[in-house]
Amino acid sequence: MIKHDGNQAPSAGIADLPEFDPDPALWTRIQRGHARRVIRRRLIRAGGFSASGAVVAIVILLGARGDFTGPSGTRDVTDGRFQSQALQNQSSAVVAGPQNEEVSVSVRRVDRELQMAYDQGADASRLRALWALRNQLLESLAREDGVRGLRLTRI
Amino acid sequence: MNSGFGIVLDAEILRQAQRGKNAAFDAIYRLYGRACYNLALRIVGEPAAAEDIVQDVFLRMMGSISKFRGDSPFGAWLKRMMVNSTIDVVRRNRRIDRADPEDHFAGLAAEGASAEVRVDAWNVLMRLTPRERAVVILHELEGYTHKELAQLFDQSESYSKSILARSLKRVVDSGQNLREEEEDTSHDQT
Repeated sequence: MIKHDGNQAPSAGIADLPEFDPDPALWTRIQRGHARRVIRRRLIRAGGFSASGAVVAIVILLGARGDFTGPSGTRDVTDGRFQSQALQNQSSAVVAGPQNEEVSVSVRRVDRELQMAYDQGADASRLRALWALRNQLLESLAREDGVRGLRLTRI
Repeated sequence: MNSGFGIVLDAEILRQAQRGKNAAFDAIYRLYGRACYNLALRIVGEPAAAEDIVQDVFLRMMGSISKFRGDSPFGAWLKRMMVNSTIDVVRRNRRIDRADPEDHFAGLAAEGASAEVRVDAWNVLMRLTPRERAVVILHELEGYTHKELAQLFDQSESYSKSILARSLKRVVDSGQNLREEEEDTSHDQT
């Protein structure tokens, strides 16, 4: 008997195929694999943002104490910093993934440049550009993961 | 269709799984794990390979279930992942996907019916190639149409129809042989 497309009963023989149970240890292996993935994602997330978060915290702290030694007339730079921290907080809820990992690597790179820029007393335009780049990266990360309700003001 | 994938997933379990709760994943595995394993096993024919496929699919499901919007039943979604992964394995693994269907059917015919005495449908199925088994299982048990099978294998519909017809003939014939032999044996005993 040859069956054609449609919701007909399976052909004789096929309907009687035996069913087997998987190895009882299979689920344990899957759980372990899942746990490893979760841990790896958390590490990536933590690694991606701990360094950059530290930079943001230091800069904001210095700004709040009035120790900030950046160029004068840097209101838009300050806005960029605060915006970046807001995005940083949003990003902490983002689920890590291959694309996110790439972005977090880029964020770390920008953070190093920001640190150098502040160390070298870079001018406001340089700082503004770096903070804008950082915000764009964080924004793309948030957009990628469908984080809603994000309201950004470009600097 | 005769498949564990038809079981409806409780909405609360789905919600919990989407929040990453392990107990919900455990419940999903208990509901669908066996169906997943048997689908893969019937096609690849090797328990270890079938388990690897189930493991891979469950890990991906656990990672992506938060994006599952419920446009189709969860079981259908999971089954599609299982079928795609299994066919990928068959395509990638030349050791599993070893024979050209034409050559294979010719070889089976040359062996004659005597080689099939006392073998059941499972054993006959296992003597088909993974591609042939996939066509049989997906069409007969999982409700795939020839059009879907053609897309899955990048072949024409006549390809899957031809494979299905000849594969089923082998399975049905062997079943009849077995039944006839059992009847002969019982007559001899009486």
